[in-house]
Amino acid sequence: MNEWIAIGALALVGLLIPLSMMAVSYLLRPSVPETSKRATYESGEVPTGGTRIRFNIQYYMVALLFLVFDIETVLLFPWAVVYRAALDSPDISLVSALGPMLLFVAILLVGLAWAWRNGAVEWTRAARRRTDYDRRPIDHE
Amino acid sequence: MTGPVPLQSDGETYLLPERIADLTGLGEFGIAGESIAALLGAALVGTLMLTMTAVAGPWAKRKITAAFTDRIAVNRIGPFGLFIIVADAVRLISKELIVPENADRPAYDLAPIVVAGSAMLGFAVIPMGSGIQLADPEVGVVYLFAVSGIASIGLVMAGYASANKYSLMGGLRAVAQNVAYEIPLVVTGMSVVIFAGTLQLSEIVAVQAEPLIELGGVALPSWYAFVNPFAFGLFIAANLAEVGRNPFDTPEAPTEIVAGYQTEYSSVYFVLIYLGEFLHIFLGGAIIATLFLGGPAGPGPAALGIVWYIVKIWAVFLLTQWFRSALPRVRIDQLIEIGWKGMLVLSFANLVLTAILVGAIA
Repeated sequence: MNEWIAIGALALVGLLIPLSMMAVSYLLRPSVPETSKRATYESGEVPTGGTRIRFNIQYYMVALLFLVFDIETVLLFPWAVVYRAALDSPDISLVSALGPMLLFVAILLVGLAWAWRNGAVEWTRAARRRTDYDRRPIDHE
Repeated sequence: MTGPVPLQSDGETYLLPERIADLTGLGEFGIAGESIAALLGAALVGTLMLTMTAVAGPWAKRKITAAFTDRIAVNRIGPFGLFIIVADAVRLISKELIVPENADRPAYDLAPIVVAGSAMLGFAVIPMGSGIQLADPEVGVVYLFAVSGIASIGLVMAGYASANKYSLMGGLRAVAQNVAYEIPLVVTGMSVVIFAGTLQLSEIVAVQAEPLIELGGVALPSWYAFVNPFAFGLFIAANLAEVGRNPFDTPEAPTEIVAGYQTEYSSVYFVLIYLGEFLHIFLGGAIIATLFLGGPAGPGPAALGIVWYIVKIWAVFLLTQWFRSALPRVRIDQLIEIGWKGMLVLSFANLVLTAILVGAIA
């Protein structure tokens, strides 16, 4: 039996459950349209400005870094599967089975160290505006 | 200790759809019969997981939190307040659906389906004991990590389509967090694959049934939680971040951004997102049980496998609820730094040390 049929069947079940719940809810729930209740929620205040706000560039930086490491894991998985079997076979030495992977991981860790030093994984904060509170004379006793 | 629980017939794993086909005689109808048997099996697994979510969401979560904070919760309807599950389901589903005015419509409606539906997918390959396992592909571990990542897309869709600032922040935080902890999770899972030498989940469970050491006549099984406790701890921490539970619940952070990506969701859509989150906690528990706790193995006959499976995933659920009551939330900048500077480096150290250790033994 093809097991991907079973996985597809569960995907179908996973789709049918939310759809049937939505259908039941559609039959049960009231609908009292009123424009003010559809207003965007901003803690009870009148919403200000658009919602497509500017956000921290850091979200983009970590996403880029993720791509590199995600591809690395994809490349490492085949090695992890055959590693133990390779060690058991007499023709392959420990160095030739482990060495290339160590080198590969080392190169990527150098990359991480570089990104780390350049602040790619450091959360950038907006430069704090100096206030009167900061300029107050410091009491050195 | 019992052996590998998925029942064997001529060396192959005897999967649930095949058993249903043999029991009902559906196997004689070719691919159509197979599909029906697969659907019946999928419905059984889906119902099982949905029942556990129903017990966990409206009832167990409240009871556990109440116990931790020395209060009494849901004790009015039915024995131990259990009928609150039915009452809450009816209450939430029959609420009015309020769609925010600027919502990006198809995406806003699709997001709850993606979140709830994708969480179910992972259970297809989990060996649940007592012969309950829908499928056993050779790429099991990779499949598991791949489908458990789909939910992030649903969260970003929900956050963006709601046209709400809190939702957008929550969606962004959710994806930054999932991205940061996905790598430690997968790399730690890979160290288990090095030990087992296979990606097939039934094989990984079978390997863990072998005795590790004898302690006073009782054989300790070689569960990877005992073989490599460091990897186990790392995996649990990364998994907490993946399912967005304390101390890593920054995407929802009620005291900062209301409810994050689900701020604008009401009625059945809220139920679906909530359901998806609980399914995800259980999926995380199932992955931990399969990779580190011997799957459905436990004392007693092999037929008890499903009981041990449920006990293990509830233990992980209980752990998340304990952390929820006991641990403070980390800030988003701390979260990113713990992920990229701490967990990532530790997980690679674990991988390299595991590889060297396995090499030294061999």
